[in-house]
Amino acid sequence: MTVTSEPLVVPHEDTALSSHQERPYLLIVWDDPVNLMSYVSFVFRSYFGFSAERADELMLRVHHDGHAVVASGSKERIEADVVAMHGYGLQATLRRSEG
Amino acid sequence: MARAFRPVGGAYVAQLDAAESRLVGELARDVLQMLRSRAELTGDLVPDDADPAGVVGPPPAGGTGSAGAESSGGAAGATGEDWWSELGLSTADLGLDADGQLLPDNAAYDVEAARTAGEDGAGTPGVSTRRRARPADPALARLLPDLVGADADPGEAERLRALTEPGIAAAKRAALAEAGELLAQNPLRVPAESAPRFASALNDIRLVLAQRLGIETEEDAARVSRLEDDDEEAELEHYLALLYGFVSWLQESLMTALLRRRR
Repeated sequence: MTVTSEPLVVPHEDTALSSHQERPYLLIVWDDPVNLMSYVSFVFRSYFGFSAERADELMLRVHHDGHAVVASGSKERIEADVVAMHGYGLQATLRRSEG
Repeated sequence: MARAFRPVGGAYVAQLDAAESRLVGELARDVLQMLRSRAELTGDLVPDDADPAGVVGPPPAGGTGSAGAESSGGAAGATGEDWWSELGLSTADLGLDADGQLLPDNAAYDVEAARTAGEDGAGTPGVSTRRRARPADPALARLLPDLVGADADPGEAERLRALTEPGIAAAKRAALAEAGELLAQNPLRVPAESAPRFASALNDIRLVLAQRLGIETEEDAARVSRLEDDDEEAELEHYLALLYGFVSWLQESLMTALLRRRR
């Protein structure tokens, strides 16, 4: 990926921490009729460092299914992700994986 | 007539009419004012106003510290046979504190400080039991939503809000203030490093307008887009719909320019 501006937050492996825990926390991004599809995709690329293809795929899943799990990991990590999503104005929550 | 953003050197440049720049700038200041009022009520305002460096800072990375939050249990005490839990509501829906007392609107309520009546101590020990109610204004609640869904443990939304809202709101205020300043120039020139913040400021403006226009579903969004062309409609609705359409166009135009460059 060609980066023309500094990523806002250092990208992290979205599953790096899940092996430490049996029931990791999940970042869920929700569809809403206000956020632009291009913007959601842009946020996924800038914050998570996803490729354009991966970002678009996740964005479309949010759009079509109403929500998508975008990352998983420790509680602290996923809380930070939700905070970042809210900073961008996306609707996001965390919950513990069903196991 | 406005012209879309295009990359020029290390920036993105768009051409807006003077009236368009002024209107969007006013919207940025309106939303900023909403967030300031919230921050004044919750006592958050002092740090970032005193520190102009906050204006160029990135959105919060959330590193509020983990502070051994496991013990939180405080929420369990008051629930069970309460009427609101019978109705499937949490204290989040009611703005109640852990003892079932009604919180003052928009208040930050520090349960630990209330019990021990001493918050000047080490500063952080009380952090994991702090609670904060959701904003009463639905537009503010849209800018500052809960971090967990309605199925979370009672009190969890308020606990997380107390930890995270000050940082999120400060970053939003900084982005909106910066957007207001950028919009005072003609042509509108957004430096590349400011573009993500400018886009999120436009997004926050749209979230507030969308709430005022009652956009909850895709059908609502389609209805508002028809409103733009319908000048028979009530004047205020029509005007808000035009503003919403324009800010949406501006944000989409910035996204197009940004994503083209990043492919």
